[in-house]
Amino acid sequence: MEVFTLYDLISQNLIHRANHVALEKSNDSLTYGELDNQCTRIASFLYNLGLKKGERVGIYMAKSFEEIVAMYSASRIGGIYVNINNRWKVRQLKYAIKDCGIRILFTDSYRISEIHRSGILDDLECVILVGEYYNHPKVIMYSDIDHNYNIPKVRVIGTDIASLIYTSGSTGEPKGIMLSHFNIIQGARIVSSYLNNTETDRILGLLPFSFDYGFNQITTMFYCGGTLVLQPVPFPADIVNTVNNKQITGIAGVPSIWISLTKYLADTNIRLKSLRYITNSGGSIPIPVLRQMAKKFKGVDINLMYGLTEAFRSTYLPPKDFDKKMGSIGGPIPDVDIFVVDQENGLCGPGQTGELIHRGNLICQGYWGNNISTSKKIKSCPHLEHIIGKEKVLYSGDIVRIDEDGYLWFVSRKDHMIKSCGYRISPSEIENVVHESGLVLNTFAFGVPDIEKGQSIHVAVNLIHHEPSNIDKVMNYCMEQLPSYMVPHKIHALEDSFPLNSNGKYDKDGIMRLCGIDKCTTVKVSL
Amino acid sequence: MKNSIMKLTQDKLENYIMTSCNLGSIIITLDTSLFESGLLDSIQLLGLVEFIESETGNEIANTDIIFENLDSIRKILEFTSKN
Repeated sequence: MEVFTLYDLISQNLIHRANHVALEKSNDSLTYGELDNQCTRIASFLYNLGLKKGERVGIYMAKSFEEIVAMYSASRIGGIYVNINNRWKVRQLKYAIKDCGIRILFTDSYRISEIHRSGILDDLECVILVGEYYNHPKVIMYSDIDHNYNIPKVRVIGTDIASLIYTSGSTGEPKGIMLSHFNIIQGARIVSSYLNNTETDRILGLLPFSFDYGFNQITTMFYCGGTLVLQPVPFPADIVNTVNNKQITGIAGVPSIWISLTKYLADTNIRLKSLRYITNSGGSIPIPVLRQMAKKFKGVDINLMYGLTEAFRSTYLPPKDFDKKMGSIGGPIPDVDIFVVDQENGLCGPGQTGELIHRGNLICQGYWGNNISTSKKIKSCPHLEHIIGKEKVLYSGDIVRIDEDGYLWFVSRKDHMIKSCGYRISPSEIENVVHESGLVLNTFAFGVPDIEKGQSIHVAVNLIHHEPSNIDKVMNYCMEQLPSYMVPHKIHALEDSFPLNSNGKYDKDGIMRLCGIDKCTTVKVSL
Repeated sequence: MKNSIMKLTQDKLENYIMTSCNLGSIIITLDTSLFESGLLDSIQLLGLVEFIESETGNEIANTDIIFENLDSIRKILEFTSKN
């Protein structure tokens, strides 16, 4: 059976694998047949609730089977699911709900009281709640939804938008990246081709499903009929136990996970015998950790990958090249073209440095309701016209170097976006919150190299009143308003006004110097 | 964890989780899942472990940093009282 839409990923497995386990967690599992039943039940309910094709459905909850069912059910009847990072605070949740016009939200009993108290319920038509009963006229219990609805017949094609993923934008507020069914299916097809996934694979669902890389663990497994084992808690000891108890064959992780897991394996000398491969994305792993990984994951294929949510995945370093090109982001993944372009001198060759440009079917459909930002990011490239004409490509904003053998190496970001703990973070989003505290005159957020986090978040401020306790107050305000991965690691109170560059903008290097930070500062990682 | 001489109290633990982890108006009971729920993440885990270690005066072995010992206030109190 051909796979065109997200729902086809499940239904194609009903022919030969209806009794094969699709999803598993510590003491529960769902076969493809059972998963299909659940999705039919919820999709029918959403349809009868009046969900129209193209309408957005929010999901804001803990990692669970229900979270996956909600995503597939909404997209089955042409809805667009918006899986909102469950670490986000009310502030960001409100923004996403308003930005894309969500009226139906799936959530759980951990979060419903906060949603109620913050007034978010007023903006919604209904909330579908997983967990314990909550008394409110707009709340419908997930467990009360029955099978007494008609199976909807809604035509959905690959071009339709399936999902919005909110990520930090360089201009401040998060942007909703639009992914079509075709984008997502191609992501599963391409990744499973180079990871050689089959129905015998049992992948660990460790990363959040609101993250494109995390969601791809589901689609890849459904694409080849394998099993996804949910791992809600990222503690190294628990990961190791799950891998060995559940015979896990593949893990996708981000640098912070590999750092802590490698250290744990070194301390305990435990081996992960069932593991066939691991993949990294969301930032580069420090070289000393990579060296240690080669020993602690002996016999396991290590795939180092690079991508950004706007095009999901661009490059990878195949395991066979791991030893000789440790730290490189490799070359293009199958069915994708990668060009390196210097704005002035055109297409780059070996030894040269330029911006990474992505071409292919993984490029997203743009930013929700934001044509201006879309046309800046996805456009034709004059330097490539002689090869691909005016076809639109994705400008990554990442500067890379091509080595003598054609392998790519990440150099830096073109903009000031901070990359911390696998997240791309907008400095202005942090600066806005710091300003809102009402305690500062000027603020400037920037990233400082950090081996474990990639970058740590620093903020320079001019306080209105120079009292040391105000720094704590600003920090507390940030903790209230921002998800933990966006909270500044250090706030520097400067008495001097911020230095400016020749364009009249804040001079990052000058501000860092005033904060006493050397540009090359790194924090040592202990192994 | 060995030779615990100081005791981690429920009040102190609840206070730490509500203030340092900034859970806003989220209601936390003795059995509310802290990590499986996604309310706390691995960044906050490090702070929580440090807090427990400073309160009890004992280091927590990395093999003890598991869901079963740390996922709720009750689990943490039971774990620290056993050691």
